[in-house]
Amino acid sequence: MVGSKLIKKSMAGTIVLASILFFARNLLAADLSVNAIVEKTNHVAYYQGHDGRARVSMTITDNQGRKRHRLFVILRRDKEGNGSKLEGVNQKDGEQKYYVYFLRPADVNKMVFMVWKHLDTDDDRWLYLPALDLVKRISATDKRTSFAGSDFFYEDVSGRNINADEHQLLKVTDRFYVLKNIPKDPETVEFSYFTMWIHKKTFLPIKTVFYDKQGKEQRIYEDLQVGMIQGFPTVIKARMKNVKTGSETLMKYDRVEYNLNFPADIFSERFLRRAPRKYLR
Amino acid sequence: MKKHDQVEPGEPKLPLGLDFEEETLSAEQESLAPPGVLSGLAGFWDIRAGLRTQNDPFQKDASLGEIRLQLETQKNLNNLLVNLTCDFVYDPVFDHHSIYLEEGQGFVDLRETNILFSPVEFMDIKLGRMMNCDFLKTSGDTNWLPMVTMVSGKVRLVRILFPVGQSFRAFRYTVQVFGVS
Repeated sequence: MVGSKLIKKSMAGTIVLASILFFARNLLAADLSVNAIVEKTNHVAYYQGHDGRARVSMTITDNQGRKRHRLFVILRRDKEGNGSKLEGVNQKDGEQKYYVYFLRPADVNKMVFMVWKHLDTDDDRWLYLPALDLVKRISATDKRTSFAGSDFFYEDVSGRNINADEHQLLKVTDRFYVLKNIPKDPETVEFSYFTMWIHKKTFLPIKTVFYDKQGKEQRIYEDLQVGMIQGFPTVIKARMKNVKTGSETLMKYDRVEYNLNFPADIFSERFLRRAPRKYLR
Repeated sequence: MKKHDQVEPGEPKLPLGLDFEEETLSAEQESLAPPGVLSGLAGFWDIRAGLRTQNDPFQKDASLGEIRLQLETQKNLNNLLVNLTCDFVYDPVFDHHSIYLEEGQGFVDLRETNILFSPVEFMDIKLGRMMNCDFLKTSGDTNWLPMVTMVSGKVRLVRILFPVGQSFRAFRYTVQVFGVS
């Protein structure tokens, strides 16, 4: 009797231990996969190729149907990083430089917005105003304000630092990973969290919804058209809706090209005043 | 999309181009630029008007009636960049319409007429009429001046500006170091 009790006890112990190990392993696996999803999505959204160029047409429609247009060229150049800070991920996406050259409307022709995106410190941002021949440094705290009067924010254009949020995998469907991203420092942002629907096959973020402090929808981003360019799945039409103001911005991309080998020095103050026309065509 | 994929409530529609298998994704893109973009000529038309809300026996009823057409062009000639920007202005409230290029008065306001070239890799030279630079207090004004910009070694940008005033005897220069990395 005593022997059988001992066996039962030890069996029960083994089952409990096995269950703990099983769930712990699953939890760990889930955690790793969240990081991997976040890294891959960030890579697909902002880091494809070692550099790239796109011409972007923006149509901003306010809540009364009035439209405004913007046309600009974006150049991007990446620097290889030291690897991710997220556990279990080996992506080497590092610092980036962006050069945004405005063509239309004509009164902002030749205006330039430049970003040096850092991973550990605040980004450096410049705005060049040709009518005044003025180079203006933009405060890093302005990154969550409107980009060129649109419903996109500066940070939507150059990408939000993935280390700034806690990431949770809400669910996995046949086609999507659904992530919830909660800011680590809520005082610095206007939203309480945002969800992302990430296409499982391409890791493109198809839909992103920002929620305000009351948990109501604030801004909704959606991909409308995707193309395969030089082997990279690329968004060529996207929309950002501002639920609060009723306005929306449609962004269309053309002349998208990757791996053009831009020289490093065109992303400098010197080339704000003297646009690198060869690379903007 | 595969036929057996389940679509959950609230799930977004797949964008155009992802409805198909990856191999059929299209790289076709429409051209977004209106004619004229990057052809070198740009410009805008600006009309402003203002009326006084109170009677002033010494002033006209209209306080402003400005019509402005700005045209600008850039041409690249054998590594020589030519910039030309000119405003055509008419303001009926003003009584004088004679052209004084130096002061930027009259119906023609020549804002920029300059050439930019790089004799050596680390140096840009801009010669002609241009906007005064941001580090001068008179930012926004135009003037005839040569400017040399140099980038070398650890110094990111050095700009040497030689503003030439009304008289060449008032010749002075400014050196600006924009940052040392």
